[in-house]
Amino acid sequence: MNTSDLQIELDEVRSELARVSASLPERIDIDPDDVERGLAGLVLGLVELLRQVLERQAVRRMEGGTLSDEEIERVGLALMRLERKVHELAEHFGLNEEDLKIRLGAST
Amino acid sequence: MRTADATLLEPDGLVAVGDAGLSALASFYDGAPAANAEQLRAHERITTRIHGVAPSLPSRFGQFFRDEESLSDALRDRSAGLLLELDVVGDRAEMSVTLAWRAAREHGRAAPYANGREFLEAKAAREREHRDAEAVAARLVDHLAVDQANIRRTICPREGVAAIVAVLIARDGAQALREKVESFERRSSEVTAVAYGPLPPYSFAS
Repeated sequence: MNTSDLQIELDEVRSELARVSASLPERIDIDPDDVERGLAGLVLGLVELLRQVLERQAVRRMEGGTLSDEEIERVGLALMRLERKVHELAEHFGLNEEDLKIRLGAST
Repeated sequence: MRTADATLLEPDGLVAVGDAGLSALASFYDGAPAANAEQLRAHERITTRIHGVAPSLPSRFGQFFRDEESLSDALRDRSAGLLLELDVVGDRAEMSVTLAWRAAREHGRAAPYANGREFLEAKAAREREHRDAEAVAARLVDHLAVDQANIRRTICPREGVAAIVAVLIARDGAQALREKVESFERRSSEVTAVAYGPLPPYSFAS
């Protein structure tokens, strides 16, 4: 990737994060009676949010033809495993996809 | 609803818990109500009856409070925002328009994925569907010529459905909106469009 490609990539990630942060609530409620689950929801929600930003970038690059076959496989595999792990941890704490979205106000 | 309006309502099994100019109307339950068809219909009848009397913010089925005090506390904490929502809703009702794809969408392979490429291709297909659904929902809103403030949309809520668009309308505006939705459907090669309502304004109450 040359400097110009990298700059375009950074700009895209920046605008994606700006779009996401615009949908975040001003306050995040954590139930004092259930701090562990609340904290898990917050952390997992953030990880899932970042994973989705990276996933969108990867899809865009794949469709734009700027990823080699090997890169598509490697990035796809990493994102797939990360998604699986987030779901496993969410299940462990009794959280569903909706919980992660609500806590972070992520757009649907 | 506003406390002044709540006095106009026949209690009929409901208890009014008031605070800061607002009243919440609730039914007593021993334990949490089960989400079955009978209970959902009963909930629908109650919210429709309340909204038929005066402007209200209906709750979705299954909002549960331990006792009147906890309901009163929740009301007090949110009174300013709820009063603002009541002003926005005013004496209006909701119509819900379901846009369903005419042809099945390409989703790529479903999970579990055999490799990284399959995973990314499935995500790409879902993103394309999401983009197309947003575009068709935007065309419907243009066709209805409704202010964005009176619209709530849910994109790709379930398999086969492109979007559900909720529209806030005057109480006597249901037939006019239904006709506009029908004319949209006749012109669309992508989706069918069906209007439901009028309903209490569920999508405009937080």
